[in-house]
Amino acid sequence: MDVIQVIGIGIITVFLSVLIRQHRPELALALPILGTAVIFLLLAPGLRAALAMFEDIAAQAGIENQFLRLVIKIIGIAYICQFSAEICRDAGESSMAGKIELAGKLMILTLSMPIIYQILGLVGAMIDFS
Amino acid sequence: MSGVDLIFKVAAIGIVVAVLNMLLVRAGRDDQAMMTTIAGLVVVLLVVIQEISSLFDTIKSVFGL
Repeated sequence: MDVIQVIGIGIITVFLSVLIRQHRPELALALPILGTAVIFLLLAPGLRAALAMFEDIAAQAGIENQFLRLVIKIIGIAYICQFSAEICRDAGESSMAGKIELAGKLMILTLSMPIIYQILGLVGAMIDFS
Repeated sequence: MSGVDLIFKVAAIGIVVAVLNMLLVRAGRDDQAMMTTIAGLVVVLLVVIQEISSLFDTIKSVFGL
């Protein structure tokens, strides 16, 4: 029944937002933000369980925990950047949305730098072997 | 307070502010209409900021940021 709850929240939010938009556009902007927050808070326990399951599977497969944590972190950064960029775009400020997305990409690149170095080192070692 | 109530609260504030604004403008009190708008905006922002703060805290703890 959780899905129906989420759909209900979403449709009610959009409906009220459209209702208010003609009179108070700045208040209409607050409603989708609230709706997003409410839906995510509703989904958070399930997400936590799913991520715990992934970590469990990775531990059984013998993948280093550090890599999976990095991937999860990158997913988190991508999610909040997309969330805030969408809010900016809804308000008609697509330039600010672009800047937030750029910042998110840069953060992800910075986070993944150590792994890129590691891969390059591995490739270099393989070339040396052959 | 559960989440859906917050959405209804903000929507109600929006409608009330819009109606008050219309009445005050019609009565020729433009400055007070402006004040009503700003007050409504501040109240809504307070609600939204609390919710966003809890959203970001949850994201931080879930994704381990």
